[in-house]
Amino acid sequence: MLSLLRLTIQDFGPYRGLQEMTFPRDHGVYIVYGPNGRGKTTLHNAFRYALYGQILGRHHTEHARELANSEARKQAGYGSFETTLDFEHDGDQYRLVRRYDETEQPHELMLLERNGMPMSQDDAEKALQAVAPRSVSQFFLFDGELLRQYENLLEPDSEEGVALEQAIERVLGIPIVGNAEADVTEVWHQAEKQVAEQYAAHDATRRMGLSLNEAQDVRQRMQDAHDQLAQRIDTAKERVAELEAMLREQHKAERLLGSLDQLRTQESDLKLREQTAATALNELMPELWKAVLSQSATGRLTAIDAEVQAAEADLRGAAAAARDLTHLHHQPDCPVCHRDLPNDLRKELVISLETAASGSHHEAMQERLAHARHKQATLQRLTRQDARLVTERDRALRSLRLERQGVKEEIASIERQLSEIGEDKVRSLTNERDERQAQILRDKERLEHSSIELRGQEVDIEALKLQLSKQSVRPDHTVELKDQVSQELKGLFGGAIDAYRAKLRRRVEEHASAIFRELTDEPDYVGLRITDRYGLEIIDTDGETVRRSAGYEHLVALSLIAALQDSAAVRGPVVMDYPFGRLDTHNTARVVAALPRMARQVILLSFDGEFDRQAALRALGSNLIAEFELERVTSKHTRILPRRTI
Amino acid sequence: MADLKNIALTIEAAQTATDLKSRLGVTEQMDLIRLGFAYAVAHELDLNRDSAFGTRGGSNYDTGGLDQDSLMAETVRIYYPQPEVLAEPYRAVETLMNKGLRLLGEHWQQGIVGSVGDLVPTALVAEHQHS
Repeated sequence: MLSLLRLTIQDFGPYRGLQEMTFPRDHGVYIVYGPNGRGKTTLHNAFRYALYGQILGRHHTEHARELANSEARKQAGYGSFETTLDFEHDGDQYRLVRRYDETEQPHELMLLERNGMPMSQDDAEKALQAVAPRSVSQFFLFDGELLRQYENLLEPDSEEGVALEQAIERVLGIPIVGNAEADVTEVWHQAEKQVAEQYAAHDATRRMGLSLNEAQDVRQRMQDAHDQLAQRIDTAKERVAELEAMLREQHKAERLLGSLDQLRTQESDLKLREQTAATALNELMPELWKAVLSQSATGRLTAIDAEVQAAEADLRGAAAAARDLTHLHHQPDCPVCHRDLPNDLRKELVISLETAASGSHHEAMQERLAHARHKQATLQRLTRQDARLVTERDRALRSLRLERQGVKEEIASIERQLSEIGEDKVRSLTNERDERQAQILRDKERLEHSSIELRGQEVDIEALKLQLSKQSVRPDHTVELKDQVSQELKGLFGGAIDAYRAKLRRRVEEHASAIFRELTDEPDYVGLRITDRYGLEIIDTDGETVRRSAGYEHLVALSLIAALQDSAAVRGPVVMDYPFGRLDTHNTARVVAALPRMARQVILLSFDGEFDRQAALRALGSNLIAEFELERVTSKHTRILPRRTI
Repeated sequence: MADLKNIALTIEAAQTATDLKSRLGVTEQMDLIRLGFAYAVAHELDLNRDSAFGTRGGSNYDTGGLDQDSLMAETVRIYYPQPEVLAEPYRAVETLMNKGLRLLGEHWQQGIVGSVGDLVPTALVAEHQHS
């Protein structure tokens, strides 16, 4: 079982610089949120590249150079990126580093360390083939856009379905038994050959022994030709499956055009809203300079308020001094306590009040107060400007611009995809597919004929062996025993493949049914029935097959993926991009809740609003290990940030 | 000496103002000049006509049109209460608007300012306006 520990990427697509995601637990769900155009599919590809050294577009395999960060390329003058995947498998710690570099000429490097020790290139390739074979990558890194391929399993004539069926058998480990049968057959043929040589060594059985030997040689040549033919048919089928996938893109083009129209309408609406928001912000521009100063004006205003109060107090003091002086000039008593005042004290008071009560002092005080009040009024005009309104309108405008930019990037991406699909290409693909299919038909007839001839040759060999067994000459007992045992073992393995296949098929059916019942709320759908080619049909309470909708097609495909994970000979994490494409809100919530049962480690790439996050948090509980988000820095720079770790 | 009736942008500040128009979405030149002035005051730039001021040669603006209610002149008198400023506030306004525009341009280049929202500190203002 492969468990991810950490993914580190550098300058991969929009992930500029060194960025990492850690997976602290070997079981549970990790969710990455990112809006459209922020790099979810590229992150999916980062996992793919890190594990398999391969990058897949929605249409075809892409070259590594397309994923070098363009800002970094501009800065350095050449493109490069690196992925480092730390993982554990059967108690061993691995570090897999892959690097693409254009420093001199474009080249790619792969380094694998096991428990801190670097491995040779051959050993590394073998280890990766055992831990994470590329041929079954679609079960670990799956793209919701491609889930439709599972419908082909129900189409009897679909070559693509055959290719998928073979991939399913590979992940279930059935070829392991097939390889064992082939090995035993090889041993058997060697033993038979030795038997024939021993008969030929005796005078009495020489002629028959030589005939047997020659018959075996003929069988070998026939077998080689038969295998070559079978190989050619497999290769042609794989090519037809590829061609069918490419042709299906044409149908996808129609869907893309629909999305494009929708996005263009959305973009046009956003443009209008952006213009309105810009006008609203522009209305504030004549006063913007005041808003810039409003904070510092507020600070100064506090001091000026105090200065005004002090000036007012001083002015009141000057008025009081004038009043008291007049009192002293006309009345005999004290202006404050109204007691009689001795003359010397009266004179002293008059002298001390004369300056404060003078007209010039009063004027100075009035001027000081007017000056302070003037400054106060100026600062109040600056602070009256509502800075929050500027911030709010600016934020609204920026948010609309960001949203529009995202939509524009999505439009550009769809236009790119559409430009890759041309009419001539369709015609050429169709022609090639038809030619290959005709070739497959011819080769299949030849293969059938070859099988009949091969069986005839086997009968001849057995007849010769029977005749020889009646002779007095006996071959070496050990060789004879080896011949018999290996022949019986071949029969045993041949039968075991079918038994093993049937057992795994039942297991997949049971597990897929259990998951499917969790995913659907339709009580009449009691489970799934597996076909000979691993297609799954929905069964209702009457035991009848249900004609299913696109949404249910999706649920069935997800159930199959989960069941294959459970029964696979090779197991690992599942990284899901766009898994809810055709599902409604209700079914999406059910899939989210069932994620922990899809695989031990599940990494989900999604966007805010695709499902109810609070409901998901409740449903996943402690199975949700961490959440990340993809933050835009620029259109060519995205940061992976932890949102929450539990 | 009599205060200025016309004030001018330097060549460098005029270029920065052209760049900032599209970057910040401030379409009116007068609004941008006032913004440069306020940015300089908020950053407490000095009134020295050093290299940060720029080279003379840009467009002229009538102070009456630029500062119809004299608020800019009053503001500069409060923030820079030196006698020469009190006497000739528009000479100081001219210095500050040029230096402020250039500083704003630099801050844009450095990513310190991304939009007009970044020019407006809100916390303290909001507090004062509530009280």
